[in-house]
Amino acid sequence: MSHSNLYAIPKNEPQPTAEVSHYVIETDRLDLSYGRKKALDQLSLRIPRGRIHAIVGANGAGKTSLFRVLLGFQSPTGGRASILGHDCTALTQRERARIGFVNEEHSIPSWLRVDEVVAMQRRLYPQWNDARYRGVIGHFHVQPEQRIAELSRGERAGVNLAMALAQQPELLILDEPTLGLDVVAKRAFLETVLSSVEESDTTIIYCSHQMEEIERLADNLIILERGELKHMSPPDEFCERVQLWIAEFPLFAPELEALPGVLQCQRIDGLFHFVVLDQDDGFGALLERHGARRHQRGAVNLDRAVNAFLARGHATPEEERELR
Amino acid sequence: MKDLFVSEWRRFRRLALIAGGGHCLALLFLSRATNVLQLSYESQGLMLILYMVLGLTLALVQVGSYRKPSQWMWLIHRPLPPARIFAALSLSALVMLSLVVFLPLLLFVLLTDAFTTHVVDMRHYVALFYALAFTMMAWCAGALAIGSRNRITVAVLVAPFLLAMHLASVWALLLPVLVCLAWLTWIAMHSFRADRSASIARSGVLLLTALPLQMGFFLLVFHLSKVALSAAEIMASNAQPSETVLETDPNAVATLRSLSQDSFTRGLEGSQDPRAAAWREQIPLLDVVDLVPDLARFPVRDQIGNLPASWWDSKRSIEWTFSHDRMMFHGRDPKTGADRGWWGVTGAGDQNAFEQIPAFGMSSHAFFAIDDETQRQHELMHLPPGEWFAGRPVRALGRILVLTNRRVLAYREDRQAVSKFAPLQLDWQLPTDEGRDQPPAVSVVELLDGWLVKIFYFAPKEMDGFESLVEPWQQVVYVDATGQATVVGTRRNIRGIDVTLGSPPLVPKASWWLSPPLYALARWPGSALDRGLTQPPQLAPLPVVPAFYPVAAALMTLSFALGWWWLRGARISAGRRWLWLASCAILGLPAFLSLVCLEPRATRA
Repeated sequence: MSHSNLYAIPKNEPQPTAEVSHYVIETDRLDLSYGRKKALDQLSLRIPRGRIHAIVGANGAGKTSLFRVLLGFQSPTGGRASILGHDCTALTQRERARIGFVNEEHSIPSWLRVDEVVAMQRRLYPQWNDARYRGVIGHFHVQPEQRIAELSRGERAGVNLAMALAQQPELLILDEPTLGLDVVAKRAFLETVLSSVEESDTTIIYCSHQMEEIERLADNLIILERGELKHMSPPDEFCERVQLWIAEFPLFAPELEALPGVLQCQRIDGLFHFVVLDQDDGFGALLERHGARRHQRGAVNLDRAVNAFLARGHATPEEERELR
Repeated sequence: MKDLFVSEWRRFRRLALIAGGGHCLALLFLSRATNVLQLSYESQGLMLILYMVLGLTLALVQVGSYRKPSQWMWLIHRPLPPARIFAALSLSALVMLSLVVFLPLLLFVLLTDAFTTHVVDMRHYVALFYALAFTMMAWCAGALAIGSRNRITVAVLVAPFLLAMHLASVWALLLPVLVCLAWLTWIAMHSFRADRSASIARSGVLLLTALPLQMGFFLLVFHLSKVALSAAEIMASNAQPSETVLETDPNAVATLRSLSQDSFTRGLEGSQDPRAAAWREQIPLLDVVDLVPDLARFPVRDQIGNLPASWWDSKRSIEWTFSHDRMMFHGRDPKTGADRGWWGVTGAGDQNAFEQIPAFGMSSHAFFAIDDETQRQHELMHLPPGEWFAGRPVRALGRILVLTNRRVLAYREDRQAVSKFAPLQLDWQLPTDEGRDQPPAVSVVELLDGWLVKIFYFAPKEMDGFESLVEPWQQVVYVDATGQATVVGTRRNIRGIDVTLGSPPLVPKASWWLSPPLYALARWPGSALDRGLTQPPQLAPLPVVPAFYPVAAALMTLSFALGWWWLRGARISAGRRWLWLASCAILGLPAFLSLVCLEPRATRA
């Protein structure tokens, strides 16, 4: 039997059993609505074990809603979802012990000292790894006797991440963990995430708006838009799908509708910059047919590719005017 | 769980210590002004409400700090069952509330018991547990509101009030209060779950959550509708705020003023007795003595609420306070705090305990007189078994007039006796057997050759700031000088005397039709638990006014329709849907409100 799926299981690897699912997250036509607003729309997603999977999307794309459903804090209005092979609506404490979660607010009881919170977590999680905790917290220069309320946002993020990693979860969900962190704290945070993945087999789901973080961390890129899955592949593959074409039109610019796959079009210094999706060299010929004097193909980085992908069809009136 | 408990304790310990200290100081301050342990039961009720507010506030601050989705995730997403997380939070709350409420009260009672001459009974110690239980119930209601999908579920807090302020023995109340606390704790515990917006999965939990919530909504709507109707009626009548409704109704005032004489003469209108015409002319000129059946019940031993069972001997500056443990009065000089001994059945120094707790100088069966000079107590009257005083004896018209649940009695003092505390001599008596359910109101006038007694019977009534007499009828009886009684007038179908005092006429009617079953259920704890004296007397419910049948039916139908509208498209089992619809139809709007709180509405495309 051949596996066309990108994440097909090689034949020489052990097959998933009922206890250990190959996928850490599986959703099948998952729906979630808040009143008339659809947060998740027929979302079918399978995220395999291991590596760092980044979920990106504009605000309201359904990222946090997806995490809430996955952790059982929101019941879906349709479809099914499972995490580590267990139904999300019936997670027990055993499953929860295997899932770490860090959100952007870094909710830790502010009235406790760092060592007290850590002691509490240590007793809760049987697989607690003190060495790992010390290794991670070392990046953030936090003293054990400090009160949580006295910590900066970055320090709190560090404590939160250190505790999450010390729990040695099979799956760690990081929901915009670097939001509001300064450059130094952010760098320390990312380094910690990277090094911890190298040291363990934790699967990390990383959600962020910061593409440079995704570019640096992610092995797999998942793009959500209005609750729908729009793309899922390694980031490089996504970048290969997206190209930049720069063209000069001496007379007038072509109608965008006549150009297939255009995600974004900008006019910079008299040159038209087209970010296009899934186009080959034929796109250059097409530009020539529409009156381009010269044109050039270039690569785009992940930031621009994802932003163009998410912003497609969302040109402001000013941008439209500029194009014409 | 232990860590979470300790964490919560560390969070609030300073605040709890400060509040506990403040409570101690408040009790000390109060004790300088009054005898805290003998506070009236209205004041006790106020204290209970303050403690409950404290419990609710703690829940809103403590559990409320986890209300935010991210905080809730931090609390629940851990390798602990939610029930244990709730247990940690509730136990920490119990410890803190014990520190703030229970411990200061216990210290106060212990110190009062050990170092003062105040009466401290076992009931005072047991009452402390009630204070703590009700405070915890308020905490549970707050926790339930935070953990539920709708914060209005805090209305469940109103339901335990059905168990508060009963004049029953502390021992009789113990089980119902503990059951109520366990009930609220259980449903609050089940509200601790990851998905707060989801409906309650298990039918048993849903049922146990819905019922107190429906009762809470009913009581809220019931009392708020009374206030709203009163306000609406006052506004509609253009009355000045300082005026009472009674004052704006000249007919009611006139009816009241002439009530006794007027109903006397009207009772004689159809009389065949040849003397009736003369009596009708005489009555407006005579003094009418009213005997009102205002004693429904008497204190019970170990009663939780304090009733006026103390009296003051101004001559010797002694305050006599009844001790439920010893069933005797204990004397104390309030200025010096000196112990003045015990007062038994026969007076000061007597160690014989009372059989029943006396109030207002009488027990349910015996009426006493006290000799100020000798500090002796004399039993002037003793009623046979099955008969009890329905009102306080009245000294008037040269007699001591007594109303019991069975008779009207006129006694006179034995002027020949050496002692002025000699047993009273019965002058005449009248049976009032027609009023077995409710002792009648009696009016007496003295004639030259005998007595005219008006016995006014009425069906059970509800007293809640108003009085409504239902289906009243009256007899006028002539008692001659020998004590021979003759019925000289009977008046039935009295309409003009159906008056409302102090409240708008609509108010009494804002009751059962809101939800007949819940109305009946709300009255049940009172009728089941109250064994002690109630002042004012707790009366039977107002009879159903047939005119409001259509209103009750319309509300039930409306509730059913709203329930159906709410549940259309909802993904619930057919059994659960019909259970909700049936409860909406039977229990009315409170059931619909609980449905809105507990069952999410289906998402519309």
